[in-house]
Amino acid sequence: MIYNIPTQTAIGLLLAVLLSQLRRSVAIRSIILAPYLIANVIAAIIWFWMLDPLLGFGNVVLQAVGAGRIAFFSDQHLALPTIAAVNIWRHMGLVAILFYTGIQTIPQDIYEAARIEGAGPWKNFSRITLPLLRPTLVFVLITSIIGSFQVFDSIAVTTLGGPVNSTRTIVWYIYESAFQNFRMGYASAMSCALFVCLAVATLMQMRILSSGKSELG
Amino acid sequence: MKATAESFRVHPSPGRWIGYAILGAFAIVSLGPIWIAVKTALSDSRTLFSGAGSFLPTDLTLFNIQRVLGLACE
Repeated sequence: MIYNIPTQTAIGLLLAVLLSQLRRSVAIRSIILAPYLIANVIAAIIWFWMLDPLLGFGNVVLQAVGAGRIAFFSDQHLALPTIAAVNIWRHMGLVAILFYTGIQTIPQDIYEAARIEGAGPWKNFSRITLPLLRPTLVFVLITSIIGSFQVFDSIAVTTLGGPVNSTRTIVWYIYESAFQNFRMGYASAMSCALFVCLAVATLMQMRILSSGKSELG
Repeated sequence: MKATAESFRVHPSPGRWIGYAILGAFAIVSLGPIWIAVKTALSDSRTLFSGAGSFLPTDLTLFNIQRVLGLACE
């Protein structure tokens, strides 16, 4: 979650702003959404194959540039960031498209008024685009947080919670408790607790960011 | 002076080129792993390990696709 949400949101926002500024970007819009069309399991397998320490394309390239081979999925310190990177790769297009549609709803006359007042691109972004994107931002943050708590399939096909439990997420721990250690009651209680935690986090976020209120009225 | 089409053409600013470059980089990052999957599907299984670093199929074959479509079997 620590790796996932800020990176994914920042990349999505950057791409959305670029897509809205550059008119000839229809093809790129489709391309960046392509990873989202792939199932989580397949995306994880592709990256697992690509980053294989001996035969993966990524590691062959790294060795060619002199960086040496890196065991991305079997290094205790790299496994979790690598899984986060796979999730970011899969979701950044969707986040960008969500922000892009949010930007499209902002009336152009606000930007024109700001231009007349002498506002530059950065001021336009920080004083107009970002505040008016608040409902979209809240939606993206809530769905990203819920999604990052539910990471399961990419771990199931790559690291199985290892190495040294470094990729043991909450949902993976619930699965282990229920179907490997057969502590069904404990796993069910954890599921209920997770649901309550996510509901509370969602409500708090909506309250803090005033998701229902838009600057447009 | 006679106005030509060239004189009316608006040249993109450097900022615009940087924007397109960033979008292009993200497009490559998005499609790269998908291309690796396509490349692997089009490569012969025996030469797969020797040609791991190649960006193109090492020994082009449609056998894997034919297997998926049920037109061939191992």
